[in-house]
Amino acid sequence: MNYEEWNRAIINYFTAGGSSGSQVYLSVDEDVLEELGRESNQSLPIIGWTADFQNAVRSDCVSGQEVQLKSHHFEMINGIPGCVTFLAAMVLAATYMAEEVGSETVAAEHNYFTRLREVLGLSLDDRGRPRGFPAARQEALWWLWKRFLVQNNLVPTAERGRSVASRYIQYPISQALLRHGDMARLIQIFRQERASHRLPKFCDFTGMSRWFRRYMFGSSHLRELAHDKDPRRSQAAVEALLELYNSIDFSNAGSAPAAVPGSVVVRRLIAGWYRIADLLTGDISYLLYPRQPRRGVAQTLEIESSSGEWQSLTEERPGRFLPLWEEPLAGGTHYKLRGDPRWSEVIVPEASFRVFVRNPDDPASNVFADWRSPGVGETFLFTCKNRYLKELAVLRQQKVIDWNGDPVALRTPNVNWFEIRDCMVLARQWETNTPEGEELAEVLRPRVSASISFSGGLRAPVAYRWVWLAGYLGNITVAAFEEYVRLKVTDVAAPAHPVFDEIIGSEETVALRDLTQLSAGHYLTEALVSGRTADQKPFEVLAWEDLRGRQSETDPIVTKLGEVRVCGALIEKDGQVDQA
Amino acid sequence: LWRRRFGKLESAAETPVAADVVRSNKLERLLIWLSAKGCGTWNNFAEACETLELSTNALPAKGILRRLRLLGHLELSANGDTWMVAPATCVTCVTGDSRHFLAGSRTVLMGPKCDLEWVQHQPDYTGPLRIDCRAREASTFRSVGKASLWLGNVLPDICQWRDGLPTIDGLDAVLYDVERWDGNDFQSCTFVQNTGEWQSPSGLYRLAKKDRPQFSAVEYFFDRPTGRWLRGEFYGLRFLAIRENGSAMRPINYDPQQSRLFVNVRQRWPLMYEKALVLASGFLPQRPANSDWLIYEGVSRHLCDLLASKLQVVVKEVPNA
Repeated sequence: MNYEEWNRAIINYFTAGGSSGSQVYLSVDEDVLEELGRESNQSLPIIGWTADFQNAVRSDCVSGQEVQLKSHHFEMINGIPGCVTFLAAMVLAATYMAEEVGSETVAAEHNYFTRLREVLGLSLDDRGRPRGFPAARQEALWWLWKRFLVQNNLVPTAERGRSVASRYIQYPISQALLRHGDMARLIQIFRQERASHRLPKFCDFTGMSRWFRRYMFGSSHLRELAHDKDPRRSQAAVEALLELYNSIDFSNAGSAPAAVPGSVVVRRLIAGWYRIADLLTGDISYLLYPRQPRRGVAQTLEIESSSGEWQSLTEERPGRFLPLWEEPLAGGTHYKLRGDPRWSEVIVPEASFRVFVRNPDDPASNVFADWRSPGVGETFLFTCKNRYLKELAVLRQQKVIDWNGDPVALRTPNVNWFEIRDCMVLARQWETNTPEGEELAEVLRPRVSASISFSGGLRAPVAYRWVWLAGYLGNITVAAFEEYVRLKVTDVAAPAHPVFDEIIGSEETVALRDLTQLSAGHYLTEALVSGRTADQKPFEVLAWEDLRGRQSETDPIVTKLGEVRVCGALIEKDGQVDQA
Repeated sequence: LWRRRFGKLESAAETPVAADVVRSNKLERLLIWLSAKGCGTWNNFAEACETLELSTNALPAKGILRRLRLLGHLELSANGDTWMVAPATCVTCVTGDSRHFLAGSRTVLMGPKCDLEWVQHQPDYTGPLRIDCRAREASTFRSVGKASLWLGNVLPDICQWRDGLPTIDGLDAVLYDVERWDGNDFQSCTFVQNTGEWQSPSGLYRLAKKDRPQFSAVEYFFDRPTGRWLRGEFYGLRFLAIRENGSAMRPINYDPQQSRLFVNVRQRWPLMYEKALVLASGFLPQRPANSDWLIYEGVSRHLCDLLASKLQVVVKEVPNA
């Protein structure tokens, strides 16, 4: 594959199937490159896909002993950034870093550039940053990638380091979640943990997160990742681990995981729940709500219900398929998939509690689902087995959590489960010494220190995105456990000068309309606590000229006068307009 | 929007006239936003009006919605909960030389398609802009001809219209505080029931639940001969109530020279009949200061007689009114 083909493949791999507002780590490593190569439908090069990738980068970006980036690397071409293959090479170099080297030291800088030189095929006789590649140019490339992500309603994660040594190399290092060799180590560990029942058959995010933080890894990198000061990075690592765990065929001890070249891929989609309440009867139902494949778009998929019927999976919103049938909250089941050989089944993770947030696009509706973790200051719906109620009451007394009303018992198929409504976490520090309490802390303890929310203004009718119409901008509020937070709003097309960068109080509302007339474009909102990014949220300002009319998909509303139908000025009889 | 024609919009709100222009352009933006959304709930509509600072006491959201319906931009579901933008159409005026205007869905880009010189404000700036559509552009949009005449032809007479209104079943007036429309305003009254039948006269009533004062009152027409409570938009029900009173009904005035129709503001027509008048020209009615008359432009004699006969109102000719 050439540079451009790699560019497209990598972008698609990391952005397809992502839910709105989800974070993207450009976590390229050898395994990812091999997988992309396999799925390219091109014949395997003798040198292997990783070497093919390196050759593509070298032929496009290196001249002699110098990095030579061209104008197309700094531009959006047909709506996609031309820099991603090169950025991927930078991240690949980070995955080769010696694992004992911490990421914010001078040794790290030396170590990183040595690896980068290897990837780019530059002489190791020279040391440090390659010639022709000043730091400012590197940053411009990362901002182009960020701009692309924000335009696609995704959240970028690459950022500057905090120390002088790590200022620029932190960009690629922050993206490399697993280093070279981590995968093979993890597969071995997962097999052992599964065999000893320390990990369940169908593990969910909370279970994996808990396991990850407790396991005594030999690798210092994995240890550091499990306890990363940036909780967003730890979360992304757990997601990567979960994906790996779900790609292992545990029934076959000798089978290789998905990521190993040439192996049979066993991939599973994870399902969540979609909660609806009947407005008249008040009946509550929890429906199976499968996630879309996070990486790479699958072909048409069908799922086999427990009655043996095959049903098509249709996209409901970015990252999710339409809800299906009623599914017990306890989970622990799986359903067969067909239509795309890469995806074999949908698994329903087992757990004793679930957390649901309101529909972000229609908070007034009765609909809840496990779209994301609740933010700071956000109310949510918590469901759990009855054995946790006692411990929850204790936590409520300790004022770390609160809710409205009494727990509501659920009906079949969720007997012994309770709904606790309008829950809110009130404190960051949880003290508990019971097993139930620890489990609750794992799932409920806030993972972030601040959350951004938007409100007001006139929103363009664009589903699953926050788009304000020019001249009618709304408000930004940051809820945080700290008293003050730093709020930054950046036009991603001009990142050097944020349009807003101030310390504000927690729960203070910033009216964008009063501050400045933001022009049409894409913006990234960032809340920082103690100098670290706590939350990010993209929004767009749309020019009125770009607002298009839409034909409603529902049946038209008409006034009937006998056999005549009136819809606006359109007056029809038997589908004919009378030209009076 | 329409910057070339109207200059600076937001900063021009210093004089009363400029403020009107700003309001008119906000109504235009509302229509563009509604068109982008396609359909929605009453709450969506009211919130958008509020955000655009249109929904004031002088121009409440319900009034805006009614005007958009009169202009053929919007339809409302029978229960009033849901609205939907109508398809973009090119309507031919009833009078004059083959002139056309746009109704239904709208985008900013529709302006440049037509010459901006042909864009006009509605009388009193109470609706979105009226975009005149020349014959050469008419083919761009779905042509519906003289929709006004077609609508006038298919509308039922007032008695059939009344009989076709949706009814409220099982309404127990005893549970409500009741007021009756006396021709000018609502006056408190007692709704009389005798041997299981309501004895009160036909008319427009306002009912507010005694035990739920926080809910706004609703207006229904009581049709005594059939004992039915009828539901509909306010002006239509009020028209029925005035008609019941017989002598209170005033004639309408028609100026054949200027093709203008004058309707007393207190006897405004039911929406569909008024819509036929508005679609004749694409202009909402004008109400001169200190006048009790609503003036509809571009109404042909034929259309005037057609609608007057259906509503059973007398037409008085007033040349050069």
